[in-house]
Amino acid sequence: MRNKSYVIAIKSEKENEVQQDWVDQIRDFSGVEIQGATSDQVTVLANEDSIKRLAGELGDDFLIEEGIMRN
Amino acid sequence: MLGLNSYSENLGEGIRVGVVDTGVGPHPYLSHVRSAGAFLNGNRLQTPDSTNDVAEHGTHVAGTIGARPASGSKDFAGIAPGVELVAARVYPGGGPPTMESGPTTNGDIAQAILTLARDEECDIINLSSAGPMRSRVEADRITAALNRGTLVICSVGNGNGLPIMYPAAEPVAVGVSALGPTGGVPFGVMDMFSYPPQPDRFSFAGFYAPNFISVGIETKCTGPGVGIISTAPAQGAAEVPYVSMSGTSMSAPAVTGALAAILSRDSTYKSLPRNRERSSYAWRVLLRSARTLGLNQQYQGYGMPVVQVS
Repeated sequence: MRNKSYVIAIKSEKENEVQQDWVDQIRDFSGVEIQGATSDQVTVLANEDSIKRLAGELGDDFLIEEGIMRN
Repeated sequence: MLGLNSYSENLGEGIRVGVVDTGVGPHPYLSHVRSAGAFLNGNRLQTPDSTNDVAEHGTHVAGTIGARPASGSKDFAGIAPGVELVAARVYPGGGPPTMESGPTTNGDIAQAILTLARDEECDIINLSSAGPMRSRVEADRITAALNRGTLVICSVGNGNGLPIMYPAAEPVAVGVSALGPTGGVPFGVMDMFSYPPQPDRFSFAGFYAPNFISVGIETKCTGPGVGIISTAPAQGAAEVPYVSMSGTSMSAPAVTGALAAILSRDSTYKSLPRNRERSSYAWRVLLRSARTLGLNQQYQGYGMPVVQVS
């Protein structure tokens, strides 16, 4: 399966409820490579299977979507 | 256009505007622009030159909003030269000719919006970037910006008649289309090709909806976007360059500048807390200031804002 870029962001209304080590949780997740991170969101490279497993792990407090180009 | 017929150095004073774009400057009339950093591939960079323009686009956009010429120079000024401008670069640069900025992404735009609204406390954010696919992350950040008192003004895109692009098509964004002055485009220039064949795109008020715009009922308002002269990055300290550009990227900052000018003279707005009440008030002021040009709503939305300030 091909790796794609995804953005993982804390939902704005949940920003005070998410555990502070969530970026480390992603860093340790197999099949997911962090490209860039802030305290609000991370950009990762992953395949569809890995990102689905990660979404299940992180739960509903996060938005996960593919990187979308803008001009 | 926009109702401005005199220059006032303090128009826009007390209003903070964020510019999410290719960077800004250097340009001597944009030396007041503050940097919020570059947002690239998920990272935030805050080096001294992180918001230098990697193309010309962002400098043009920022100049339209708030270029501040030297006193008495009589050079071109921005619509609201008194505004406080904050730049966030989301384009990497290094692209091929005609696309020197390189592409940006939903993630970097979303992070820039969040930072400008939450950390920089901007009143308005101008986003002259668009694409055909919806981003839930961008929509979330624009909604969060509204809840923090920040209005996000977006270009509807240059889709040549295709639907309004995102994030301008989001109900929470102010999507801005573009207009040109009928008969105001000199013969032989590229902008002549923006004349549309459809008669319903020409208004009684002497404007036309150019054929490059994206079209749809999500359009909230419109502004001048053909042959717009504004600042370009300077190569040397003595240079004061300007360039002409066309597109909805140019009309969005015209509307942003007009709204900043109006709000700067509104003491009620300035007294409001930084929450949804403040952004809703700004939204109402913008739509109330819009004058219809007699075009279909999918081209003009509520119309073009007119600045009526003393």
